[in-house]
Amino acid sequence: MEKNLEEILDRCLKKMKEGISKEDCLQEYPDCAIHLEGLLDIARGIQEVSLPFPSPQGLATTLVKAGRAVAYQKGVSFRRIWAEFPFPSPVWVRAFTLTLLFILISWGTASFSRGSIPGDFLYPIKIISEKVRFFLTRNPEGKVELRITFSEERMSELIKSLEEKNSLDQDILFSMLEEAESTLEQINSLPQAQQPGHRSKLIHLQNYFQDNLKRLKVSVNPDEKEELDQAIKRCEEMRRMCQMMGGSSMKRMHQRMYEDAEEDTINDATVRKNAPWRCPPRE
Amino acid sequence: MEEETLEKARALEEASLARIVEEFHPRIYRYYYFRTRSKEDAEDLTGEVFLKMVKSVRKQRGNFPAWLFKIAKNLLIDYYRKKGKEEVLLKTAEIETFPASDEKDIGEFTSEELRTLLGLLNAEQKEVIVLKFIEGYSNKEIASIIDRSEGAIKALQFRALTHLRDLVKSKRT
Repeated sequence: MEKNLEEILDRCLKKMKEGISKEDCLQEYPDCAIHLEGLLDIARGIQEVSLPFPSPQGLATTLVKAGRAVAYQKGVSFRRIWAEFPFPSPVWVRAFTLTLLFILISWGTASFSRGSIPGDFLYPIKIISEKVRFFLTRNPEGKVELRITFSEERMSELIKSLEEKNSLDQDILFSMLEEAESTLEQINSLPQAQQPGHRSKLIHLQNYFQDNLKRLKVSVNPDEKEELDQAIKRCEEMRRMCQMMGGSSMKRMHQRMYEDAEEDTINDATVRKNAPWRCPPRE
Repeated sequence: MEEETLEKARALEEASLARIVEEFHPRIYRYYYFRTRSKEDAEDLTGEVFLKMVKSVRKQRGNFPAWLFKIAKNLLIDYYRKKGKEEVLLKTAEIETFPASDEKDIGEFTSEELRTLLGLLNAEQKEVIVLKFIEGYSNKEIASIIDRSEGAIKALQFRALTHLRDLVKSKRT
């Protein structure tokens, strides 16, 4: 019965809200009229009660406080993200997670930057990561390997840049040659026994550079051809310098190379005959 | 409340938030007015509701008034917890302020009298009376605010009105 009354009361309240009079509602449910009448009167009384209003000062205070809270929320959005980030709770786990996150982000960015060329957004990151790799490498042989890799990388950048921009990037060309020359100096600082193998690699690299630069000559503007010719010449000089170096110091080698160049007594065949492992046949 | 205003408020646009405060401030105040014993407490709590609203409005989804009244309800629970007391029912004997008059109709009372009468209802009954007859929300909306079924709202409404009718009758006869 009570359940029924709850339902009927709710229906009557709904009808009264729609504008139907209390009497009309009660007529629909004559059996419940005695119970319903007082309840409907109370409901109507509550609806008609004069409503209390907050003081204007109360509203003004709330508006001011809300305005301050908005400014604070806008200012601390980073702190909020930080605070809401679902880090694990112990401090050391949080520190570990952050370190891992940092490493992942750095590694990811460095990986993405690998294919970049000068002018790209990620190119400075590529250069910085190369410097960091070089700095972190303690093994002198490793440093030589890195120099060779970076030098090759500059060559790839030069080709890619020429394809994309249709002009020769002289800065890359210059840094490629610089990198190769630094490699030679790095090789000289190695113990004697380790030098020949690396020097041989550098000779291969110079051959590879010369071939590529000759191929590029067909794609560049006439005024850029001269730059390429000079670069090819520098590669050739370096190659010859490599071939001549047996165990002498760099300075002596320079001296000897220029003397030989003047007399034109040195050629590939001579070197190949005296030290075949230092001068692989050119392709 | 327009969806556009709500969207802007979620992006913390000050004008939209101010519009929401102006619209809901009196409603939230009334909700507290009938649930606390002092106007000052009602005003303080009302202010807090809007601070909480600003803090979490970015994540708000769904029915906005229901969400706002839920904040109000949770703050009211904290308020009673902090004060170290439950939202106790007044004893019938405490209602000295309620005028015993034969001339008045059964459904005729002032907001002060209604506040006193509501003090005799339990928390959920009070909540249903305020939200339904003062703020005009539907059973469905009230159900979502107080986390009860629509059937439970009808039952609470029936019991609250019956209780109030008996109280008024006992005072006026």
